[in-house]
Amino acid sequence: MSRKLIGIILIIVTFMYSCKSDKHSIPVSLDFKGFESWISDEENGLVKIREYHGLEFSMFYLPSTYLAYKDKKQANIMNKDSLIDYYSQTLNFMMRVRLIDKNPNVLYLGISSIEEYKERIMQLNFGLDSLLKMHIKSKEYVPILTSFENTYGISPYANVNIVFILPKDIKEGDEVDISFQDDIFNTGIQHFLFDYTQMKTVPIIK
Amino acid sequence: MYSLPFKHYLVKGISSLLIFAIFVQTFAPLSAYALTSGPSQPEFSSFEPVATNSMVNEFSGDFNYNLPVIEIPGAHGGGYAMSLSYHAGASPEEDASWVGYGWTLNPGAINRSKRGFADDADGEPIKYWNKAPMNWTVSVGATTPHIELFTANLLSGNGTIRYNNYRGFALVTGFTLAAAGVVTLSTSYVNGVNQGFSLDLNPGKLLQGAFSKETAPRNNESANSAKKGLNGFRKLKRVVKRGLNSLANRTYSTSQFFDETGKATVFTPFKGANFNVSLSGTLGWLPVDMGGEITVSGGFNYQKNKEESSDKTYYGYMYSAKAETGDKKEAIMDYMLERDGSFQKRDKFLPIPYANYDYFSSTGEGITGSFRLQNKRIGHFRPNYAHSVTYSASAGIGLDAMLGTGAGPDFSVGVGRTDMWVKPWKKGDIEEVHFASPDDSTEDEPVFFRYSNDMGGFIGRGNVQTKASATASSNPSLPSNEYPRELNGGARAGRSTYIGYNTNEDMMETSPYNNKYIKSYNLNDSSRSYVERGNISKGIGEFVTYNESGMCYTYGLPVYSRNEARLSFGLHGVGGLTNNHNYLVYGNLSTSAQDANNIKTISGEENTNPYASTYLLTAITSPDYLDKNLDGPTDDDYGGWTRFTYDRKYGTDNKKANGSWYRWRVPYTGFYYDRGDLTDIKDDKGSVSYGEKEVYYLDSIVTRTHIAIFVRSQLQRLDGLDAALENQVGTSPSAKNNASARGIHKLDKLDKIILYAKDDPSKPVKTVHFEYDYSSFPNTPNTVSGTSGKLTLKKVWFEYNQAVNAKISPYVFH
Repeated sequence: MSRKLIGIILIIVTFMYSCKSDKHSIPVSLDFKGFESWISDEENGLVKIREYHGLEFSMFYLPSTYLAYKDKKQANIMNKDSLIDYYSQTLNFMMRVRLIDKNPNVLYLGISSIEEYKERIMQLNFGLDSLLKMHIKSKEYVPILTSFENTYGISPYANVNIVFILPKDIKEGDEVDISFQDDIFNTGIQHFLFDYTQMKTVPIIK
Repeated sequence: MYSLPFKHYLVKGISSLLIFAIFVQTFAPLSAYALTSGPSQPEFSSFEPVATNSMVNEFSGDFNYNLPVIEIPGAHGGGYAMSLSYHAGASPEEDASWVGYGWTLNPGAINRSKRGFADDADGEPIKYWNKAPMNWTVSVGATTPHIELFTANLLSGNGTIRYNNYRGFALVTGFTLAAAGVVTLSTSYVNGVNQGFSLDLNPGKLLQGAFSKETAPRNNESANSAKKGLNGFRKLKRVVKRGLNSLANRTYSTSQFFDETGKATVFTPFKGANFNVSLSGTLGWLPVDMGGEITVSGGFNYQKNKEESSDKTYYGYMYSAKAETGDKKEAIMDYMLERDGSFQKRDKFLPIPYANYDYFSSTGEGITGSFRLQNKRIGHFRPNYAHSVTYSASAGIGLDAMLGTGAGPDFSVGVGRTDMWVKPWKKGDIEEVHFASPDDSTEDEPVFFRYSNDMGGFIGRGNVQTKASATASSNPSLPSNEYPRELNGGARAGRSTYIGYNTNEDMMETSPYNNKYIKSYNLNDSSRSYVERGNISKGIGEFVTYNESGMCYTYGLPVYSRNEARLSFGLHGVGGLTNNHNYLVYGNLSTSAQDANNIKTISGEENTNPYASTYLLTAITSPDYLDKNLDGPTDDDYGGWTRFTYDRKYGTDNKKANGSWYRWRVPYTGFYYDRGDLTDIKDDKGSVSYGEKEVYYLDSIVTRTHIAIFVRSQLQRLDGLDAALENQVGTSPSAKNNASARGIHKLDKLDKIILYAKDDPSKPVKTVHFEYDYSSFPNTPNTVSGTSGKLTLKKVWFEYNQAVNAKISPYVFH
């Protein structure tokens, strides 16, 4: 009797454990805001964060569905599928830089004159092509487009949009290494390692 | 219980009026009437460098937003970056630029803020209008019997009824109380309003009175004859006095033109006449030498400008030396006066003249500043010569009676002529003062440009503490010769940045400087050949300046404006006018012969002379740049360079030739209505300003390694139409009397910027796209439909178009 009872309890416990939701499982679909929160969650593998001497560098992978949906809200020419196809030909990332535990504008970090500030702005706007690289299977790729979003201190971080060509021979399981040679804030070289499988597997946006 | 301090119905009325005004302004705003942006082009009027650090204009509090859009890489220090920037606070009357309302994408330019005349005008024609009805006055008056004692007035009063065709009726009364002419107290009233009291002291009168008494003989017969003689003398004196009084009964006025703020008065000659008649009666009693006089008088005077319009010549500040020569006495110089006005007896200072130099503001990535023209020598400003004449005539009949002696008539007739000249002061005994002339090849740097507040070096203006003074007389002259004539004693003024310039004459193929210092080259890009310099030879053709790094900025393409007019029309007596909410008025108001005949008052100026309102940035070269073949920046040159090319949409090579120019007008249609005094219907005015300008667009930016093409849309913009003509041509409505009149010239918008690498021009490196609608300010008048709004930037995005298409999520503006 006691053995039967123990067995039943074990089976119940086993079922309960197996039914417990896996917080690392990918939801089937999410609304737009939920999707944004999902890709911002480091555990989902689409954002990589590095900290160095009070500076935090975050590299977000922006899925093509997300970009297409975001664009569709304003664009009326292309339908959503066309936009997805458009964005699917590239790998789009966003790098965010901010000061940890402080609110001042990160663009002023280490700046002692207006000339230095101008040089930094020029570098962020037009000089990132030479500082960012993507490595996949020992091949190196440079960005085809970069764009710096200057919020003029309204937000404490600086965002940079980066676009790489999607290599034709990339496969699931490949490692995607985005490297940033930081000649702007002088923190050395930062690497952001992504798994292409995780980049491909994202929820649907409702 | 509290009660309103004024009537309840008044409150309701005022409230209703305010509500109505708000309603009207909300749904039918009257603000969008200036449009067409005046003589400047919105594409080049404002500039924002790439590296701005604030979203707020700290001076005005307006919102700014800056979006760097493209960098054109170049080798050896060449290359250029451009930024798309937004400035809030733009007036609803401003037109949208080629990237939308409030936005600007400007490579850099020098913009001229003209004050008075353009500095580089050399003897150019201008037409001034000062048509006004003849100013006439009829007056009838009388003096009350006044008491004389020993030939001196003791007490007198006067009253005059006057009618002037401008001001209407007036009643002038006054009285004078005198003590033997030594002390005189007088006052007057005009229409019951006291004009003040005046007190005059004249101790010399005491001596005059004593002397005349001592000469009177004492025996009877001789006394009688002496009395007769004395009486006769008195009569003569009275006759002369009446005649002098009637001659003094005239009006002087200096006719003044409507002119822009900051110009000295331009004098126009007038002609006039005075006619006076008087009847007087005098009764005296010799034993006490006392009597009384009563006078009735009437007069008519008029004044009229010699010409309704006059053609004058003017000289800008740069060529002031030429205007100083004697044969140019009727020419107008470029200066303004502080406290301009007629000289009054109580004035201690004469109006102070200031040179009316233009302000030039230079913009570009890596350079910014404001500069102006300086003249090496201190010269002499003078008003334009004018000669006015007034004729006078008077007649008087008098009846004089002396108690115990007799009575008799007297007659007086007087004629006179008064000449008034406006001319320069005599120079007196001092050394002649003259501006330095830019044509004087013996003078080192006679005129030069210098940045405002340039801390490098100084401009010495002398250290004389004594104020200049002169005595008012019939022949005044300038005092003293201790004042300096040259800045810095003739040496060059130090400065931290050099601003060079060449006139169009210097840049012509026939110039002696050509091929020696300057090469007038014509590259493959046609923008260098957009100016025929022959008939605007004295104008400035290009500027060159340097930044702190030694980079040289050449602003070599002048953008011209011409045919400007600023006119004001009197509305009284003009038929067929339409009043639009007391804000605009429409009608046949123009200076054409047909319209001008029906308008009694016209004032203003018409200036056809073209002048450069903007100089576009055409090249930037590094300090080590070397032009190998003297053909401008090309691939074979050494050092770093960036070249800017432009496409002209409106304008002509010959700036004085007929052609397709963009017409601006303020207001866009009709005339601004100035009601003047509510009690005077004759002072209502309508005013307008208009002109023509060239329109250029940036076509490409070229460096040694890259080229950026600025692609304008093939589709025409729906807004930004220029103004219609003043006078109707064919069936097209004219701007003066039709609220829906519009011009035919349209503006362009920027569709995209494409960046190519020269080593592979088949594929663009990067493309920047712009998307617009017309949602701002619906119902803007200068749109194709009349109901559309202004060009509004909605979206900007970047694309890569080579093997694959790629883009970054767009910037969207709401």
